[in-house]
Order: sequence, then structure tokens, then C-alpha cells
Amino acid sequence: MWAWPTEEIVCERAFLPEETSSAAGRLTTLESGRPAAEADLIAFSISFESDYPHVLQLLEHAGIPLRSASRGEDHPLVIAGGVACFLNPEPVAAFIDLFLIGEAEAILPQFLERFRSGAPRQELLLDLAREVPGAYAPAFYAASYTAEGALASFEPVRDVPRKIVRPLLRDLSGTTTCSSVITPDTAFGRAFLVEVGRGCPHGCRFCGAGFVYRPPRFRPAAELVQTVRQGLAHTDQVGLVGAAVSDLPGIGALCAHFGGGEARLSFSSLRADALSPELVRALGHSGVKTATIAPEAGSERLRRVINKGISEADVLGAAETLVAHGIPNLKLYFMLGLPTETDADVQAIATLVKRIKHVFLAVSRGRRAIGIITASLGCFVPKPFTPFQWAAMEEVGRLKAKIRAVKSELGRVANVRVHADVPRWAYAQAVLSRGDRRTAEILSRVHALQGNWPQALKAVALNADFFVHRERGTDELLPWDFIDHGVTKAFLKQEYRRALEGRPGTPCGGGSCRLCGACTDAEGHPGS
Amino acid sequence: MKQTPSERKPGAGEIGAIRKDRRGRTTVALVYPNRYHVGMANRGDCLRARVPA
Repeated sequence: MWAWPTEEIVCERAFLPEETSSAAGRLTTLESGRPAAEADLIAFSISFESDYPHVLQLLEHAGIPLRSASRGEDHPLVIAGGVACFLNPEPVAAFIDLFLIGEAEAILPQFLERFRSGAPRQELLLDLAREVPGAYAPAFYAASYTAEGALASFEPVRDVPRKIVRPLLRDLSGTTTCSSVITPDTAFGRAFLVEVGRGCPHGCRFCGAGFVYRPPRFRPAAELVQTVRQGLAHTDQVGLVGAAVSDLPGIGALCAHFGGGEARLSFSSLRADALSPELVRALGHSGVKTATIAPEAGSERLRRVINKGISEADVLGAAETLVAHGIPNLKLYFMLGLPTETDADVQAIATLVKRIKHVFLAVSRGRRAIGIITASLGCFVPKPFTPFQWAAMEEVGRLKAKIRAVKSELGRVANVRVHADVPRWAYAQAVLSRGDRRTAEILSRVHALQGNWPQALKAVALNADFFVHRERGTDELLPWDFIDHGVTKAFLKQEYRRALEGRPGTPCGGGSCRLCGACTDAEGHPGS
Repeated sequence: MKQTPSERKPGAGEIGAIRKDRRGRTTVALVYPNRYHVGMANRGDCLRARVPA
């Protein structure tokens, strides 16, 4: 299908320095210890908007001008990819020469071939922006704004595509995505990670991955067996990774195959309504001490609004099954500040946690130790390319009050702990997720003030609340509208309307329907 | 005494890292915008699997 020009390329890794005060030292790569700035290409892999300030720090450490416009022939080309950029690259656009929007397998071969032409910088950028699928060079586009501050226009100023159509790998069979380096020093321990699929069929309305990776695709279970075997040569811990691992066709057989002793399997995500006996047995056997359930909202009504598709009975049943299989601790994910949320919905979080605890105690009784239930309260940030992209984020003060309300209900309940996001960090995340290219001013100021967000927000001429707390009109031009992820704006609008009416979502046909737009032009999508 | 992740040098104890001679090759610095133990938990390293082969 495609071939990597692997022999001609050396890829080395660099990270944010461990010591925060190491501004003096130059950024070097892990493999050779050479300065990162000596590379031909600096490639950022960005999963989280909250890491954007680190991009500026890293460029400074590397000795590369922060702004793309200030770089010349002697500097490496600075490119970026990763899901944060797929959703909205604009807040960080001033600092990146070229974004690659879409899945790497469908972009990199053509990118590398053209990049190696060695053409002068501007000529090279223009060639890449015109010819490589998913390539977006911000300098070739200009934005204008209305008197109120909304985006008025976003147009190419050179002969480059008007819309960036993101390519993806249509068929995952025959390709493997797994850990190339196993390290003891990560959140996953020594685990060998295997990607089981991309995208997710459930379409939870708050989740970007459920829309930008459509249609959902899975690897054939027989191929995954081979990949897991390769990993077992190095480690017994295997992490199966995906947006909803329990949706993988053949997951039960895969668990039965390895879950009996050979491997300690763990899962990046499991739905409470899909805990098959094989899966839970594999999890229990792995020695995992904590399992996570994500009801996201406390009430059935609000779970319908977000299209979670999980009932209270599912949640209670999952808690019972997990504890009965010897997993002592439960972690429960909830979000506060979801659209249409009322005080009764907030109250329902505490009520649901108490009901889960009741089940938990009944099953734990007779076991030597009773575990801990941790309720994790996140602050909802409306993300681009989701049906909630138009929604306003809840005010920081209201979020604090809601966190206090849940904490006061659960604070003194034995065996229950509550962890909560810091609302003002969620606010910063919203700025970086929902802003347009003027957000560069905020990022520059945050960088100059060494991370002092309150001061930075005061110092800039821009009102960040405009990005965060304003419900946007469904006919408004959004900063990320120039990216085509397949799913149509009309579909997202319809889902937003249905959400506000408390109606469930249109299910994803997984390639068999033409409802959301992701599968309509399968022929026309390049790079697949 | 067992070392905790923060005491160990980034990259120590890794399996599978590849070091190649850079001469005559296009060099790519793949940068994770966070510290080693966070960055390596990121799936970006999967991508690297097929770049250097």
C-alpha cells in the first residue's frame, strides 16, 4: 500500500526537561544527545491543549525562534500533529510552520518524500501545503474578525486548498500500532501498548474522538493476537488501547486467549454496559487494583443529553461485577458544567456514588479488605467538532460551587474519596481549545510570565471569556471550520438540538449509513 | 534501593530504542511537549515504530 523511506531517516525523541529551571541548557535528543535544533525537522506530537505552553518552552530551549514568521533557512521546519491539532490548531498556529491534520500513515510517506527535496523554505512549505493530504500551513491563510470579535472570514492567501481534508487510514488490517519502546517510567509501567482500533461508535456528545476519527475502525483480532505475542517476548504486561476497547469485535476471544496466565491484560477504557465474563476474568487475573467506570453524569436525564447510552443499572451492575472479580477499588468519572445541568443533576452525582457504594459494600463483605471508591469530578470543556462545540463553558465560580456541593455530600462518607479538577485550569484549557489564532497573544504572554495565567489574561487586549463563556450561533464561522473531518456541521447541529431536547443520538452505522457525513465521500477522501 | 521514576534518568531501562548513524540521513526530532514519563505514556511513540523501522 505504502512504503516508508525508513533507511534514509533517523528519528530521535526529545521531551520537556525534567528540571523546570534548566532554561540555560539546550534541548537535546534522547538517542544521540545532539541539539534538537540541528535536526532537519522538529515534529511535535500534541495530544492535549494544555501542553501548548510547553511547545513555546521547548522551542525556546531548542534555540529556535518562537514564531514561525521569524524562522529562516537555517532553522529546522517545525511541524505538529496529534488530536489536539486535529480539533483546533489555531491557538498554536503562529508557532508552527506546518500542521499535519489526520492519521500519520496516510500523510507521512508523501510528506517525507517532498520534504527531502531540499527546496528553499518558502517554496518547500508551499509545495507541502498544496500537495500533501492534511497539510496546513497557517501562514498561507488570513483571518478577519467582526466588530464583536467573532471570525468574519478565513481565506487562503496563496494557491493552497480552501479546506483541509483530513486523511485517515480506511482499513487498519495489515498495519500494527504498538509500543516501539518499552520503558519502566510511565503511567503504564512496563506495559506493551497495542492499539486495537481508532474512533468510537457511541457518539457521546462531549467527546472529540467520537467524531473526528469516524468511521470507527478495528484491527482484526487474529492480527492483534500476533502483536500481543510479540510484546510478550519483552514483558507480561499488555495494555489494549482504544476509545472503547470493549467494542472490539472478538475482544472476548482475545481475553480468553491471553487472560489465563500468559499475559496481564489491561484496558484503556471499558464501557460499563460491555463487561463480558472473559473481559472481567482477564482484568481480575491481571492483578489490576483499580477499575474505572465513567458514568460522566449523575442523572439519567443528563446522560441522555450527553448521549452516554449507559443506564444506572449498567453502572451498578458493572461495579458489582468488578468487585466480585477481585478488583478492590473503583474510580468513577463525572463531569460538572455539562449543558442543561441543574442543581438536581449535581445532587444526582452524590446519590449515584452512594448507590454504587451500597452495591460495593454488599459485594466486598466477606472479603478481607474493603477498597476505596474515588469519584473524579472533571470540569466540562466544550470541544471543537463535537455537537457541544457551540455551547458556553460554565463559569469558574459556578463550577467551584458545584464541586463544593458534591464534596459536602460525599466528604464524610467512609471508603469514598472525591478528587476535583481545578476550574481555572479547565478555563485555560478552554481558551486553548476554543480560541482562534489571536490566542497566540495569550500563549506568548503566559510564556513570558512563566505560566502566570491570571496576569497574562489581564495583560492582553483580548477578552478570553469571548472564546470560553459565549454560546456561539450555529450559523457562526468557527475558527476550526476550515478542517473537514467528514462529519457535517448539519449533523453536529442536529445532535446539538437533540441534546438540548434531552433526546438520544443518532447511532453510528460504522460505515453502513450516510447520516453523519464521514462515510459519504469515501471515494473522494485522499490518502486512504 | 529501588529508584522512583523521577530519580532515574529519562531513557534508562528502555527496551527497543533505536540509535542510528545520522550521517547522510534526514534527521527528525520527535518532540513530546511534556516530561519523559508523561510523554512516553502518550501513544505518539507508536507512530515512531514505523518511521525508523
